[in-house]
Amino acid sequence: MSGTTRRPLRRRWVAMCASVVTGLLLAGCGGSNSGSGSGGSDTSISGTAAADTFNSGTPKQGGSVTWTIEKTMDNWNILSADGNTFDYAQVVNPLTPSPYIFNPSYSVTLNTDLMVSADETSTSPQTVVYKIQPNAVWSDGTPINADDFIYNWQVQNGTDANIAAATTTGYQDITSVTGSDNGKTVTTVYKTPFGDWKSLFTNMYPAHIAKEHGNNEASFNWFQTNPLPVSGGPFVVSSVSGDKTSVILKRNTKYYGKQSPLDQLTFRAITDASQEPTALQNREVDGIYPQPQTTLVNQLKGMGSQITYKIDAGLGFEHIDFNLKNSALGNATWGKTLRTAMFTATDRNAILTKTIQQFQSSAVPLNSRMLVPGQNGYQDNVTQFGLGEGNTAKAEQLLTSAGFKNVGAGKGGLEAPDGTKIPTFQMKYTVGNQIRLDTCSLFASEMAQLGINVAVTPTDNLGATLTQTGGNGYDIVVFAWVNTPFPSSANQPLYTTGGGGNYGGYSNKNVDAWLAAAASSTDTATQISNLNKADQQISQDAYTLPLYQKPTLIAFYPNLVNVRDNATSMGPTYNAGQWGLKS
Amino acid sequence: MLAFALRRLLVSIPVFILSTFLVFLLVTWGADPLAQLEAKNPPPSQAVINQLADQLYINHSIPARYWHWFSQLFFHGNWGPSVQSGTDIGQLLSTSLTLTARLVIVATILAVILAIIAGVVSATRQYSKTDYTITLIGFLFLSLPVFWFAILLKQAVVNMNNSLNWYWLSTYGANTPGLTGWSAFSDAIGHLVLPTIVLAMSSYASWSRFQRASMLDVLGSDYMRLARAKGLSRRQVMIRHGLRTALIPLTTQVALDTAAILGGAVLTESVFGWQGMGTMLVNGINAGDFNVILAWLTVSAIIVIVFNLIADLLYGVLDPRIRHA
Amino acid sequence: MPELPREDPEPTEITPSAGSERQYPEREFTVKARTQTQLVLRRFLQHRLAVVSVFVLLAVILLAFVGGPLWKYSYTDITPDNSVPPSGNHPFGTDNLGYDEFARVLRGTQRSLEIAFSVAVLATAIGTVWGAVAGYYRGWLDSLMMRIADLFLTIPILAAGALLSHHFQTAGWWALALVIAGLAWPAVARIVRGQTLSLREKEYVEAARSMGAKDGRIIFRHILPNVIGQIIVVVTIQIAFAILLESSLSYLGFGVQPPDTSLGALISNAQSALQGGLWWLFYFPGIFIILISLSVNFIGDGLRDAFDPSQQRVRA
Repeated sequence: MSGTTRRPLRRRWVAMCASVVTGLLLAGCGGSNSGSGSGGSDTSISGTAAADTFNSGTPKQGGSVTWTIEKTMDNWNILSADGNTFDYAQVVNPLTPSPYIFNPSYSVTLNTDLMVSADETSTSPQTVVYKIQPNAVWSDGTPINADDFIYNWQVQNGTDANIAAATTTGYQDITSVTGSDNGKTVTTVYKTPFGDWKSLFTNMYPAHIAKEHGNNEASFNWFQTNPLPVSGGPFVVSSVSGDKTSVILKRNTKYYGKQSPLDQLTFRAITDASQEPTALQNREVDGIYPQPQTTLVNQLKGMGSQITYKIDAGLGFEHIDFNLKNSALGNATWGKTLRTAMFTATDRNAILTKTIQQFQSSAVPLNSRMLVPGQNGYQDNVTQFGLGEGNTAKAEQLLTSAGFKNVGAGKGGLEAPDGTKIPTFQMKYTVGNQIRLDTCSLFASEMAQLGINVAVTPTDNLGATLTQTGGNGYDIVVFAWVNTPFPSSANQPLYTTGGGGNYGGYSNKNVDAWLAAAASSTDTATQISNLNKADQQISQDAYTLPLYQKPTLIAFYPNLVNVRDNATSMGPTYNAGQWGLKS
Repeated sequence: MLAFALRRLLVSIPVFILSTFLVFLLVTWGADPLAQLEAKNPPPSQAVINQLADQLYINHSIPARYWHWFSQLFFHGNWGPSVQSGTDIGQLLSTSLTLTARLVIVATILAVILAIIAGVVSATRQYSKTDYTITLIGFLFLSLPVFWFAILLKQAVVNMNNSLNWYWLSTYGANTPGLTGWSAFSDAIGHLVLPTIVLAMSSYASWSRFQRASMLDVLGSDYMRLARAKGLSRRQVMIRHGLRTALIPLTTQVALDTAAILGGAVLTESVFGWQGMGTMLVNGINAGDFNVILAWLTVSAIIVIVFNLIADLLYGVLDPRIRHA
Repeated sequence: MPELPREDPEPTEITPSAGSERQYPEREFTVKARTQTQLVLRRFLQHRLAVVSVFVLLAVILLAFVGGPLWKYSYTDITPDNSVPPSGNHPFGTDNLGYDEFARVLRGTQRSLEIAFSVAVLATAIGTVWGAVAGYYRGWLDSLMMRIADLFLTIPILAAGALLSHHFQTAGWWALALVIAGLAWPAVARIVRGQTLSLREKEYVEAARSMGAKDGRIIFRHILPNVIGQIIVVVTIQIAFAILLESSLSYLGFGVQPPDTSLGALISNAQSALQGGLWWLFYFPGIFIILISLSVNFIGDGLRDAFDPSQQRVRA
């Protein structure tokens, strides 16, 4: 999971869990529906079944599409810490096979082009058996088999310290990966149960090519700097420009699934998002996927029916966090009351009005830290505790009845029941991020109403600020997490005592237990109930306040079919093999 | 002359070496190559960070680091590792330089030609309507933020393209990927037009003012009157005596402005999305990429010093009044 | 009073000690001799654009520094009006967050002017002293000082500015001004040195020296006052330069950071506003940059003509 990096216009967040898949399953989901007309819409459909069929249709054979990425293609290994970037994944998706596809509806479905089946055959020890399609081959004719699973496990299981993999989650829990049936059956055995096993083995790199380039470490690094020479997906790399600003893919004629309608798929890097609409309007690219912004959306609106665009609620969400290591916020006796009062006085609707509702009128506050609407099990775990409703009177009353003194603006500053003066809190946001700055400004003015001083200052190193290293730190911070279709494994480190992403030092034994239970369970209902229990407890403790889902924006020329948003880490190219031009 | 050239060349070498040291200090002060890695989420292990620190040689004293960098570069031709993944600095430099050179050379030629014409016309018709118009335009471009003008120009061209339904002029990048032969060439020109105009305009403004001034200087000189008195036609005097003499200061000015032109190229490339030296610098700074910034500044220092040298020499060659011992 | 402008000798040389305009030597003419200041002023006033520019610049400065605080909205006020076009309530419209663009442009102008004037004053002060000392002492000191200045000239200011201001992003505008000034002074030093080299050979400097005047006194009382014309012109160039450089850095994302703002930062944020229909966000800050920079350039041109009228004479 990742904090959003600075300068929102020019970067996009680093995708978490390196989980990307080529999807070929959903072909022919009926004819095109009303959503595929030109013009724009900001009604959110992500997470619903409609998201999977948006703009679907029957393409004609042939043609070429130019898609936009926001980084130059500097790293080809999206499994590596360096290369684990959303934009690179967009290019690598149609080149690497994955057993499961993460759909726009957030459902995770078996990639039947590649797999015959994948089943959990035993729970103790947890065992998963994959059966690979007999005709599944790399573009050079080498079969896709157990060797590939073994290689991708070995480089991501964390046993070789020299391999800088993006994540080892799940892979580190596997004891063995063995092949049988000529390598077409793969058996994975886990030493500790891992519920989200379907997230594993996405974007597999070819083991037989790795063998040609030394040991695991050497080949893993080789994959970073070299375009994939073979492909296990619908396209194959044709050429890369010398300055790495463009990558041309051609149809993979050896592809074992349905052949791609397009002859060619070009990726072009436009590193400044604010220039993307202009390039689109000037027909230099056929489609863009920037982070939405009012002026950018206005620009697309200005193009009228010339293009199709869709704004959707994404899996990423903004939130305000308290640092419980602060002596006032983390005070054992009255800290919780203080935090609850502060979040009660926070008006999320006001924040939304000033920020994303400007271009996404349908946006609403997010009421869960664990799940977003559309994900199975999403429920409101926030408002029942009064958080985020902007009720200053109630907040004041909370404080007063708990014995706080000087409650309210202009009374000389809030004092705790034991007489401690509430210090000025340092609230951090990423430098240059106007939306977060405005969120902080609104928050600070609401806190002033309670007699609490909040100083808003930017940080140019969010990572160091969160981890409080090198003299950086925060009392209150606003940033974003990106959810995945696998909420159990993703959320555990964020709220567990001592967890890797638990920057504010939250600790609750029940929460620890619930999150552990969710992560080790393979039963969806168990996962969800545990996640929601933990979520409610965190609301009750007023540790963080989720604000809203970060919107996503896709825009393209209406002659493209089967191009649609996918808010998961796979992104829009999850089904690049189905993209085509209208006949 | 040769002796002078040699002497100047010899002086340039210590200037260059000291310049690299100054640049090195600047970069150590301004860039933190570990920041990006440390900011990663999930945070990488300390071992990975230490490994990068070792590679970058940053746990040493500044003189030691400088010597390490200097000796690697000048004795082994090694620019050092980059912290941006998949980046080979030497390779990056050569592709970036080629691209930027294309832009800068075409734009400079265009700017010089326009500046000469404007300067001469302005000076010979001093205080005429033409002079005032040219002067006003010059001042306007001198006072315009380059990128502001570029954004306006881009939007105007996109609107034009849309109404003509003809998309030859491009607003982003140096070329369209995947073309070959004539269409690739035509496409490259279509990408070159707008940035060239923008970059040329920012130099043109000051050079046309400069050319006007030096032309006025020459026109007011006694030998011009003498030439006229000898019976040469006005045109002959202008071209053979006037313009030729008045070009000397401009020539040296162009060479001296190299650093400013490079700065202008950074902006122009940023507006038009060229992956040249400008983008290399901006990306390098954003990533705190120590060696990339260092390489950029070193190369620009070389270019500036060489062109200053050329300016000095040209001044000696072109102006017969200056005789070097 | 004779009304015809006089054909002047080199104006920078007519007074032995131009530092004090009052002590003018007796002349044989019956007409009252004009002081240097009067002459310069007269010639300056003939440059109509420059005179207009003085008023424009003063108006902009007043608007920014006096009008800004008086205006009903502060640049940090979030008004309830989002993305409205210019109107009586919001003369320059508002942006999508409800910030009043007029308040923001005034604030930006203030910041840009503060940066520009600080840069100009700092860079000119350092450059003048550096150049005068180098030119006055000549020899190895001169070589050393000018090589040091040369070193700075090998670094493109935009690049170094971007590198360092990135480092200072959170420190505020004065850090940015310091960085720009720290890189801009050598250009001033070169010009001043050139002038000093020729002035130090003048008779009145010799005279002062023979009367036992100290070096410091000679430089500051006898040489620098005679370079004042060039210095003032250089100041105007520096101001125009700094305004544009600050806006360029802000455009690239290396300049003034929110919550503060500058004209360059405003344009940078409004890049796509032009196409998005919010034209007011793009044009107003741009027009203010042009107003400031154009008027400063014209004033500089007027001053150059006033201090050095040789360019106005055409004989061919």
